[in-house]
Amino acid sequence: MNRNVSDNHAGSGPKPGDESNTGLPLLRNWRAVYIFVTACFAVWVAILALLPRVFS
Amino acid sequence: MNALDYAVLLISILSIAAYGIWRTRGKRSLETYIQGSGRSSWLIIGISVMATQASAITFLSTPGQGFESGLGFVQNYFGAPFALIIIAAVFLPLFRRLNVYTAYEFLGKRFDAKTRLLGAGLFLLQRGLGAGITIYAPAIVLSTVFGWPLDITIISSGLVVIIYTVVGGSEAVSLTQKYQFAVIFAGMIAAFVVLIWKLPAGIGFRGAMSVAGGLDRLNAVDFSPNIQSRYTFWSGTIGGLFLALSYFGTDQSQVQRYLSSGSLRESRLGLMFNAVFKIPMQFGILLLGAMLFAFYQFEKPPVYFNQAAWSERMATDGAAPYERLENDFAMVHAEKREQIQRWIDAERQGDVAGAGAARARARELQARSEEIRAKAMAAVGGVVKAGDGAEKKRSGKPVSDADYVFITFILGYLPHGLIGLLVAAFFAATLSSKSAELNALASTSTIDVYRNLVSRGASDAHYVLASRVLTVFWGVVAIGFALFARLAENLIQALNIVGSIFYGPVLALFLVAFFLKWIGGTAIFWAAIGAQLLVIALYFTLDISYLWYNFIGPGACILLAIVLQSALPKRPKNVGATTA
Repeated sequence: MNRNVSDNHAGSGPKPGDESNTGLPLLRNWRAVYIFVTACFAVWVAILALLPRVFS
Repeated sequence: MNALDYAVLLISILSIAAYGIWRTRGKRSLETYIQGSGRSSWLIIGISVMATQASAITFLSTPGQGFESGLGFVQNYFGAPFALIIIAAVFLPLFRRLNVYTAYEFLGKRFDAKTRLLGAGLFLLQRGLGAGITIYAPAIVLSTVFGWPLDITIISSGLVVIIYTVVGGSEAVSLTQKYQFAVIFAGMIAAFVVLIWKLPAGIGFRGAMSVAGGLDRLNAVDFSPNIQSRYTFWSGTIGGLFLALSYFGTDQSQVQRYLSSGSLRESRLGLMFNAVFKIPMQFGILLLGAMLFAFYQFEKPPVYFNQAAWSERMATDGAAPYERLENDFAMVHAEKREQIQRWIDAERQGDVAGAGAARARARELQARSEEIRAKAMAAVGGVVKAGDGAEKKRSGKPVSDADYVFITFILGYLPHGLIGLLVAAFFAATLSSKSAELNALASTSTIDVYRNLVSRGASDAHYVLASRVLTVFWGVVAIGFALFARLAENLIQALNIVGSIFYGPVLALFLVAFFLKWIGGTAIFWAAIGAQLLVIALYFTLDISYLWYNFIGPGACILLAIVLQSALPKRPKNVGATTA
């Protein structure tokens, strides 16, 4: 396959350390980010489940 | 709409499109045309992914869904955070490591050329079939309500999106989506504020929430294991996981958005932005619908919100049966309003028994009101009792008016200027989702078909030109499809069915590529063909919900691939090494 154009295009692979460093102050690795996302999901489900009990 | 509304609409839409063209002028390389500049930050990627999924019909219909059925629809998105985590952790690093422009290019590297073409072909088939609907569905609502000619609404919005997608490519799409999303959210927030402000004195947000909650419009999560319920926590989390994996992980319109960044970190954070904010965003739009429901407990709504269709039926069938429904509805609404006011007053005075009694009566009247609306929907689409008691039958099923609830409120209660802003928001949503879709169709046609099969080894400029021509081609296909489409509801359902039939085997191609590395191209290719034929055969023979094909398709494909690979001669050890 012809790759004369794409070998150096924008998505030119991860830089060293790119995969592990999130650049976020408290969530320093991706595992922590995924746990945070899952926790947000749990909080949202809890809020949504409680909503009709609070306002009914 | 008056001159101020038209000015707001035209200025906001045309200035955003012009900005996209101006910022991307002179871009000539295939790299920047298809993947953008590579400088997109995680926020731009996050907004771009969100804006690509949210079309105009999302913002028109979802408040209607909240009005009609409450917040339960939000459960459909419960699988999305987990799907996005899987894509960020597994799909994305491999897409980036292999330097692919399209998701199907990855299949070519992992398997072989025929599997790549199969994936690209299935995407082009289903996305090409759906090309017109993102233009047509909002156009029919807006043209019906405003009395605009449908064809002109379709052609004008289609041409704007073709022009700036052709000129600016992927970067223009990402750049403009940011501002289009700002217009959308400014409009939705303004509508929310006006809605609360227009509630009767003393009701306010809390009162509206109590009314919506008391009449079952805030029930968002259903943990029951009933598989016949349309929206439950379980179907939303498990079914939604598969749907979101297919859509975000294998649909080029999304893959192209998050591959537009220069780094894995930005792409991942963009996806995590969606994983965190997708559910709150859908909740916010549905809550707007629930607040509309509360608002219309105090203001009398029409018995049927698509007034153009209602008037047309009155003219063709005779007004008497329709006026009877209108009168019944008005009487029930007046009594219900009185009971709700009593209920709120009693609550304020601490009269628990009085509040409970008034609330119970209001719930009875709400059930009666829903019965009358169901009759109105049946009358518009199906059966109506004529004045002489005879039934006049149409072939259609009851026609929901949910798409017209929000736009009816906008026209009836928003000040001029804001009406223009809201209509601009609907157009902005059309443009943002349509441009990403056109861009993805053109990229896949150029990279996976044209460059791969027709013209190898040509210059960058040649492929950029080909991509532009193919963008125009798919844009014209979309406009043509929208112009000849005439049954929006049936078409939307038909396209959802087409998506469910074709998404499964495509998802299986990627799941096998990532997780079953011992399976080769020949086995997965024939397994996907076999699974696709099986799903089509089952669709025509089984009487089950089409959503099940999202599970059956990948399941059948993976099983067939395992069986075929076991039967085939062993593969050389180096095959599939690209994914290691």
